Amino acid sequence: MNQATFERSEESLVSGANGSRRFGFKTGLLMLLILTPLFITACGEKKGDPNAKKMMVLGIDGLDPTTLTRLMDEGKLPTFQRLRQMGDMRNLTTSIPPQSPVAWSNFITGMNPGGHGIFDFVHRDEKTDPPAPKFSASEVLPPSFALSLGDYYLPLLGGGEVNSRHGRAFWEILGDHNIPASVYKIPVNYPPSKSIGETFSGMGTPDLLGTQGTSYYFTDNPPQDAAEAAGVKIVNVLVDDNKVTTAIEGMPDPLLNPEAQAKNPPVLVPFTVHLDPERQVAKIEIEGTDIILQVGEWSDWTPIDLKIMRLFGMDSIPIIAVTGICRFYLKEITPDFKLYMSPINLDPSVPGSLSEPSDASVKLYEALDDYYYTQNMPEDFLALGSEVLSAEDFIQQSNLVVGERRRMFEHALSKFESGLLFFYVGSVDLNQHMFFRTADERHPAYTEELGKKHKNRIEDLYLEADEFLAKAMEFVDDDTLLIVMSDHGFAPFYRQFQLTNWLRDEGYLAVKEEPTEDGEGVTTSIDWSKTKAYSMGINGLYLNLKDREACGIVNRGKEAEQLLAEIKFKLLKIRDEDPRFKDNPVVVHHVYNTKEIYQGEHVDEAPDLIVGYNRGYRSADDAGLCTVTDKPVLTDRNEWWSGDHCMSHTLVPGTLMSNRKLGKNDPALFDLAPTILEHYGITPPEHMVGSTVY
Amino acid sequence: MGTINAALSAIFDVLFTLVGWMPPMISLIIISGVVGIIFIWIFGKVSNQAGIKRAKDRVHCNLFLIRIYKDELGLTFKAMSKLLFFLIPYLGQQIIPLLILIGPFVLIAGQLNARYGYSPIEPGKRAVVKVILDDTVSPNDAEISLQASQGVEIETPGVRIPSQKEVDYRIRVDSPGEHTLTLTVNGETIEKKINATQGTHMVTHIRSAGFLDLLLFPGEAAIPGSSPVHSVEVATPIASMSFLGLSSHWLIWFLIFSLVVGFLLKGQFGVEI
Repeated sequence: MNQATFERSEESLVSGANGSRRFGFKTGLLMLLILTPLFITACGEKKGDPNAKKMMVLGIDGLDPTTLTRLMDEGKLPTFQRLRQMGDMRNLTTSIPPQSPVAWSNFITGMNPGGHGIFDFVHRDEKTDPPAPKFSASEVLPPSFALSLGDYYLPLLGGGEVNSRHGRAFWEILGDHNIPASVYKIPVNYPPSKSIGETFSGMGTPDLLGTQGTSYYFTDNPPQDAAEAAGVKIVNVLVDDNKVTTAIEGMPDPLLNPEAQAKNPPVLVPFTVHLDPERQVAKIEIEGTDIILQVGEWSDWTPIDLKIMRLFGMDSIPIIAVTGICRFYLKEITPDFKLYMSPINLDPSVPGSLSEPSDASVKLYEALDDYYYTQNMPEDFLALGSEVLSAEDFIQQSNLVVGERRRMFEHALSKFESGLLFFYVGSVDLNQHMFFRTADERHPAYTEELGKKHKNRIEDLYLEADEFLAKAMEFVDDDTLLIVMSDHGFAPFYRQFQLTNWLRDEGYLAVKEEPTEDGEGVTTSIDWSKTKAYSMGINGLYLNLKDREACGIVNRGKEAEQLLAEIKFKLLKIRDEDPRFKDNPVVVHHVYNTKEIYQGEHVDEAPDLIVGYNRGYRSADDAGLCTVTDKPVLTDRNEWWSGDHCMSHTLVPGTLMSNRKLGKNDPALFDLAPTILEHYGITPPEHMVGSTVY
Repeated sequence: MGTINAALSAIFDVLFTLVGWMPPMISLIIISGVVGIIFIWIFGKVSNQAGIKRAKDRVHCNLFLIRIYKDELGLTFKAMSKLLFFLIPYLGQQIIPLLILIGPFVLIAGQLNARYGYSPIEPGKRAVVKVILDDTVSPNDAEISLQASQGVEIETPGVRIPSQKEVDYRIRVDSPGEHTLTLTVNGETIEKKINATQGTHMVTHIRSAGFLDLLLFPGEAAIPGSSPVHSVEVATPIASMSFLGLSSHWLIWFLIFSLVVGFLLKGQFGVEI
């Protein structure tokens, strides 16, 4: 509406006494009534072609074809069995390395890591000197324009979180062709890529502290190795007259500049717990919300506000509050007080970066009539790993996650009318990681007691996956294409290989005589001026190249090639001398030269070698962060994280099932994006390396 | 107080048989309009209309002076100081009628709050029941039990907090409808209603012996003064109402709509405010 039109409209609105002008008012009103819905429709979310063919992809992380086949053959998975009979099943070649972020990026983009640039959970930060690890899937960029106001640093333009995955997601290409796609919880999609429909972020989504999941454990009797509990903040509290007064320690005020952040205390959320030891029940009072819990109970979701930008530093005068959600678990009241709190998940009831469009997470919250897990991996596996939670506690929490995902899936199915629906299930993967030790008597961490209690946990999750599939099958008619797929399979994790220590022992990595430990830095003990190669990430091995690393000493070309060949040769020669594993003592099954196996624009950012471990072996956790330890190179894996897949990719293929016959005998993950596009008659872009599986 | 509440509740029950079937925002607009009309009429009757007019004239006069002498700094300041001076008697004229109106306003607001202020607890949802005991009763020594009618599950034993004279339970509502909690303390029984019916119904979250609670939350009879229980409170979700895409507490919308109606119709009633 131009200015003249506007003035005329205003004139007609204010002069109702004149007959002819009253007609103008009525006409205007009529036009408004007709045009408003049209305008709203035009500006609203684009729905896509309502007649687009239906296709459903159920992505079950870690669904192992061998275990699946065994359980099908035993008659325990009737729906999977039915699907195999009516359609087809194949092993699905996974990514190199077979890590979830890499594998799901292959699936999403139809490229290999050289194209999408995700090579590992952990990458080498090219901006640091010396090399330091960084999270691979997303990063936070500084603002391009910010306002300094005293201690405050207010971002006004640019910056924020960016997804590190390169290349277009298949649902973006579907969107170009007006095909609606709803993509639920797919990994490596934070912040989510746009679609016609809705997309929700999954694995890789940070918690409110910006970490991949930091939980809290409030107790008056902290464990002796409290400081070592990874991903769990241990808070020592005092029980006084059956009352605990404590606080959740949040992040530093993100609007303060770094100097002020260091000077000021972090954001705190105080709360009180009243204990009734006689009845083994407690009341938590937090920000006006009361929660009653009996020992052994998880709370419902509790929203909490972290007050930032406090005026004069006073908590009572906050200008901005950041909302998160958490769950409490009352582990024990007597003899010790033990209260666990989940990581503070980002609040889905507030429009933000959890979905695309941003209000889709809110609509999902409203549809479920409840909050839902938004963090990286919803199961609190780090708390089980550090034994803050027992196996029983963890199973209870994991079942909450499964129940929540089931409700979410039912909601997604109820809305599925056309186009593509992708739904991700992560619990099979997480539970295999944690409970392999309970089902495999050969595992060094197996005990008879654990076997008795939890032997069937993994099987239970496969049965649960069968239920998911049964629900999906209710919505699959003859015209709907169904694919069930997994990113990789699974294997036991018996022995951990300390690659950094091995590089040191072989003379490729030098250590300072007096390591400089700053408590946080992980590379400070390495003498970079004498180091030729180092490990970073679960499977990555880098040369310390002169024109790449700031402190590099190895020349590209012949010297580098000879060095790579030498390291590869030696790695493949390693044998486990422990007699328990003499039947298959090979530690490294395959070593991949990334220049030979990757294609795309990001090959140069890749590790130089990918170490493909043999079944039963994987790198130790600290080796992934390039840390030299005093432990032997090969040790037993005596932890809860006892199953894994970060091995040679041929040893842990994923699963592919469909309700139609498959034409390809050796389908790979990167074939699925072209398959989806071709189903809708779209020619896959040239950068996609695969082809349809039908 | 109990008699007044009972009478008012009966009146509002009748009123809500007429408007209760409507969408809550529509019925609130109608009620706000009616209240706006009644209050502007009462304001006209209980205020010194001549005094208000006189005070307003003086204020207007000085506003006019500020405008016409805007280039004369001295005169502008003088008019401004007089304007502030004459605002005092103007505001003074409002005090008595507002004091008179505040009583009926609180009573009406209490009734409306019981109907618009809280959402019924949805089936499947949990709530905390907070029992505050009389100062003479020790939570640890008293014999306390809580029972619920069918459709409500008491999920936990009561948490005794002696320092706050408090016992807390967690309940779960399993089915819609009107439910009753029965609390027994040292042999004496107190009942508390829980409304889990969707729609505009009376939802009272607290039953109390305190005068202020009774004034603000009039849905249930007062707990007798001799009772060992001071109050029983069921944490009930606070409702918000949406109008033109904006969501707010019902009281905000009530004040806006009643004030708008009052302002629009003050001329019809010949009332100066």
